[in-house]
Parts: sequence; C-alpha cells; structure tokens
Amino acid sequence: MVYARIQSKADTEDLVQDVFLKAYHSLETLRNPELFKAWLYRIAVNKVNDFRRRQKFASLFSFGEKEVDQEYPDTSPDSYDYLAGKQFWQRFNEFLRKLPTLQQEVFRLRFLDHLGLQEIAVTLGRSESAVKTHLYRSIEKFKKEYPHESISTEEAR
Amino acid sequence: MKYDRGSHLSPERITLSLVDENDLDRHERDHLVHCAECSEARRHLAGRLENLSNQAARFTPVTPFKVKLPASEASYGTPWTLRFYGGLVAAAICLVLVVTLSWPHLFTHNPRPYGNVNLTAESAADEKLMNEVKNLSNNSLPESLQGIVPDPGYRDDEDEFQGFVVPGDA
Repeated sequence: MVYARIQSKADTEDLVQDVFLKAYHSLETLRNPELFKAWLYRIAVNKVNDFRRRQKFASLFSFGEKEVDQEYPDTSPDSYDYLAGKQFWQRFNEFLRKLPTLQQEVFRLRFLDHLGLQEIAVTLGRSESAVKTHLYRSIEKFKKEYPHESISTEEAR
Repeated sequence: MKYDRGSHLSPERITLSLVDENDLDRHERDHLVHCAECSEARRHLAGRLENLSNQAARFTPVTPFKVKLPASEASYGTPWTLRFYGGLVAAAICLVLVVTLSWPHLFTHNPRPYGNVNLTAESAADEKLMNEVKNLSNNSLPESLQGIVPDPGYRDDEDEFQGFVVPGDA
C-alpha cells in the first residue's frame, strides 16, 4: 500500500514502521474494531501525505542535486522484471497525475488496496456517496486515459 | 443516460455497475445479467481494472521486514482511568501526611503573639511592678524594719548627729 504511493523500498520500510508504531500508540482511539483495516489505512495515508509534504519541502533546498531515480526493485536479478516494473509504475503514476488528489486516493484504495466503499469512506473521512462519485469519475478517466495495451507480464512472457 | 428498456446499458451505467451495482435499478440489473453484450462490456472493464491491480501487486517488492515495537510497554499502555485514580490516591496520601505533620503546630503555636490574652496579662504584671516601685519610693526600708519607730522625745538635730559620728574635740 505504501510502496504503491512512493515507490521507494527504503522509505516504504521507514513509513511502515512509523505507521505501526503510531497505530500501536493510539490503539485506544480505535472505537470500532470492525473498522481496524480502514483505521490503519487512514494512519498510513496520513503518514504518506506527511512524507510527501516533507519531500516537497526538502526538494526546495536541493539545488542542483540530481533527483534520485525511483527505485524498483532496488536489486533485482531479473532485468525483465526491473524494466517491466519501472514501466508499469511510470505509466500508472502518469495516469494518476491526471486525476484530482481525492480521486487518486479513492482509485488507489479501491483497486490497489482492495478496500470496500465503506472502508474507503472511513479512511478518507468522507461520505460513502462522495466516495462513489469520486470512484465513478476515476474509472471513467481510467477508461479513456489508461493505455489499453497494458497487458500483464505473465501474458507478455 | 438512463436505461431505456430494450436498448443496451450506456458505458456510464456500466461504469456505475462497477462502482456499486445497487445503484442500478432492477431492470438494469436484469439486463446486465441477461444481455451478453452489456455483460461483456462490464467484464472487459472489470478485467482491465483487475489487470492493473494484479500488476501493481506483482511489481510491489515483498521483503522480509519486521516492525519494531517498544517491548517495555504493554500493548494498550496504562489505561487513563488507572492513571487518573492513581494520581487521586497519591494526592490524598500527600494531603493526609501534610495535615498529620502540621496538626500539633496548629494549636501550640500562636500566630498572634500580641493577642488579647497576652495584653491583659502583661498590663496586670506592669501594674503590679508599678505598685512595688511606688511602695519602695514611699518607704525604702524592708518590711521587717518598718516596725522600728523613733523615741517619743527624739529631736532631729543634724549637728548633734554629725558630732556624734565624727567627734572633733575629743
């Protein structure tokens, strides 16, 4: 879930550690244990957003520094996997950039994290009908904008 | 674009069926089940989304990673009620200690040294002392010698007294 948002293995590990630590310390605030998954995702989404904000702020001061290439995977023995993965995330990120932030998040939570509508609503603190609207619009964009030829690597092999 | 009986579902209604099938009306749902063309369109879109989902999972590296949690604490920590009542008990114990230690001083130590009681006692003592001084100035002899009185024919002649004390001619 975290990796799908930042595509950096090292940062993902740090963030996952942060997410679980935060969840561990604020377990008392979980009122409805049935929504544990959504609650945990909410923490994760907030942590990722904080991380992005920090990254954006840090990039303001990194004059002339070469931007680090997104890592996928850090050390892969299979060059095909490496290239296919890199290509996939590039294409996916390119598509997401065309969506408003909330639609991006709803789309990720539905199709990458497989959350239900109610869980997405809890995670993002929105109503279920608002989530449906954003999901509908993001799928409509997906139909038009996402390349049709995106076949799975299994099929490609 | 609403569903018109006899025609196929619009692409937007197909999308809506993927968001939440319950948002379609009963006729649309029936049509979706029975119409090969519409169900194929739906299956195609669902397949594309599923493919995307599978690829994302495939290209997400799985590494053995253990989350480190602080071992010294209990999973829930100390409940706030326990902390609150613990604090209350500690405060009560402190209060009892302070009262017990300062209780004797509350009664033995007079915070008003010039209170009414002391002033009355002091003025009585002063009056007694002034009476003594007055008595002494009137008669400086001790009480035991005060009974001595001069002879009835005694004449107070200073010169004779001086002659008696310092005899000159003798």
